[in-house]
Amino acid sequence: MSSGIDVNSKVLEAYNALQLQHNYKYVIFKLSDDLKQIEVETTKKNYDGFAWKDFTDQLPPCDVRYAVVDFHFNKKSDGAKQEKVIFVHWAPDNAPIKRKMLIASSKDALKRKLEGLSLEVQANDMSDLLEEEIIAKLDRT
Amino acid sequence: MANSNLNWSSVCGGLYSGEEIGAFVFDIGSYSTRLGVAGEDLPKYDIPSAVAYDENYEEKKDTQKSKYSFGDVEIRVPREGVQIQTFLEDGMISNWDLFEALVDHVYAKKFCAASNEYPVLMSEPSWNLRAKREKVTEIMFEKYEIPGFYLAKSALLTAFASGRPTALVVDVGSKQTSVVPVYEGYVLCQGIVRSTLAGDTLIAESQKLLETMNIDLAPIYTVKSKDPVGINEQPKWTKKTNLPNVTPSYHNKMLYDLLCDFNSQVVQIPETSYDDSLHDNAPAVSYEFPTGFNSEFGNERFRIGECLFDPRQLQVMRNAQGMLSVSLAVTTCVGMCDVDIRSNLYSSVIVTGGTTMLNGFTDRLQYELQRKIPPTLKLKMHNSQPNIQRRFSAWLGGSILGSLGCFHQLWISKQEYEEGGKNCVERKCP
Ligand SMILES: Nc1ncnc2c1ncn2[C@@H]1O[C@H](COP(=O)(O)OP(=O)(O)O)[C@@H](O)[C@H]1O
Repeated sequence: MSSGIDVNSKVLEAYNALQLQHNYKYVIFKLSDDLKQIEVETTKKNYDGFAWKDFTDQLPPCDVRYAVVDFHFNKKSDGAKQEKVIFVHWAPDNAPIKRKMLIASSKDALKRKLEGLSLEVQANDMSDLLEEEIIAKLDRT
Repeated sequence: MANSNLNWSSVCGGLYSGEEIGAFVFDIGSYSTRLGVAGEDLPKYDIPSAVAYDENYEEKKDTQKSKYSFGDVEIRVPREGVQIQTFLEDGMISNWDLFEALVDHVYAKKFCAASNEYPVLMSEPSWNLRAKREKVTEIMFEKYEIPGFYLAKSALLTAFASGRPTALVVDVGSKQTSVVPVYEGYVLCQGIVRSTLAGDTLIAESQKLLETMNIDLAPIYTVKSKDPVGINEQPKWTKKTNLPNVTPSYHNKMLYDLLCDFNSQVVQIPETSYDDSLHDNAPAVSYEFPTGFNSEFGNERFRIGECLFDPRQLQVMRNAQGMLSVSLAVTTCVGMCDVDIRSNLYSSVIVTGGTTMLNGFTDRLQYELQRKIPPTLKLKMHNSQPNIQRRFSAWLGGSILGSLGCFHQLWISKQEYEEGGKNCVERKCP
């Protein structure tokens, strides 16, 4: 069951720029004001010294978003550097119910367009977005 | 709360003037049916799924009265030969005549609207049978001539309404408990676990307890007057004389109401396993019966609540088939799902259904699951929703979906129905 929402063409452009060209550190998507589309809200250029918190700070406490992040970490076993693209579904419990319904029922439409994701995180509060946990999950795959 | 007195035209003229009404939303449960307009925050009506019907109607030929009556007040009027029956079995529609009678009533007396003008979004249990899905589709299009229809699984609506495309939906209602795994926006049907241990089981327990205590369970309709008495004193009440010769199903419904009220006021789920010695000193709660008799309940209220988590405590339906404790139903369900998604399910447990409003329910479920699942799995229960939303979560999800402009391409349209027939529901409403 899905909402039937559209995905704006800029979404795929931004995703490819992150996934293929590594131009972006993260991209955040939101629902358009008329609720008919998923569109790009923020693109963050790659930069040195990125901290995970820089990204999580961008997530609104009372509203819903999707995001993709170019996630870097070192493998536990041999310390090898890893780069993975992760998808974040952000629906905090105190967002309005209508927004939660929309984000949950529209995710499929977006994700079907995004190829090459390594991990998806369904986050309903910050405790679902702990960096160590994400690394542990990616390390297992 | 849903207000049964609001009439449609006053609503249209007031709040919604000028705005087009998108669709009607029906959420049918075995205890009550929630009805309203897509886009609103609460169902307009929450009416019992129990219907009263006059079995002698044909003989009486009294056209002033209708064969069926509906609604909290109406079905509770004592009348001779009037039966109380619900149209659901196992959460699925089984008595189609009663169902149609209810829908007729809803359009005529509640919505006061022509059914052929608005599409309908209806909830269904995740285990609904194909033949029943097709039949309801057929009835809605053929008899009610609705312009569009959508059948949505209630577990999915509940999960979405909490912002979770992946979740484990634990629904403890009146007749059954169901645990439904939802993954990436789809119900994993092979993982559904259902148990008959639910609200009504506790009602049977309370009845047994009160009868053992020799408490007179005269329902309110039999009471003419009562005088206040002290705690545990003989009640002083008079019985109504000249009551009509009511049917057993009517009497039982009234008794059921009494026990429902008793349970919601008195029964408490213990924090950890019930233990007589532990709960002997637990705070007691007093309750007054329709006769005026009042008493205090201490450890009994915990013993009854415990049954949901430990069916060995049951006095009435001991060894009954299909009774799984709520926590066992949850672990069994997750155990049947793919290993890779178990952690996703445990980190999104949603609790819904009227019986989960019993005090202490969520804490206890959390405690039990924490003990049972591997420590590497993170358990997260979603219980921040206010209680009122807990009974209306599926309706609310449907209300939002039905009001989305973009969702309209997903309805089964009248034309599609006419071309594809009733089996298009399988394809359009997976
Ligand atoms: N406040 C409450 N406390 C305890 N139990 C309640 C409360 N409200 C409703 N119930 C119980 O919940 C059940 C109905 O739950 P509901 O989810 O509406 O059922 P269904 O989905 O089967 O229609 C009944 O058994 C009723 O006794």
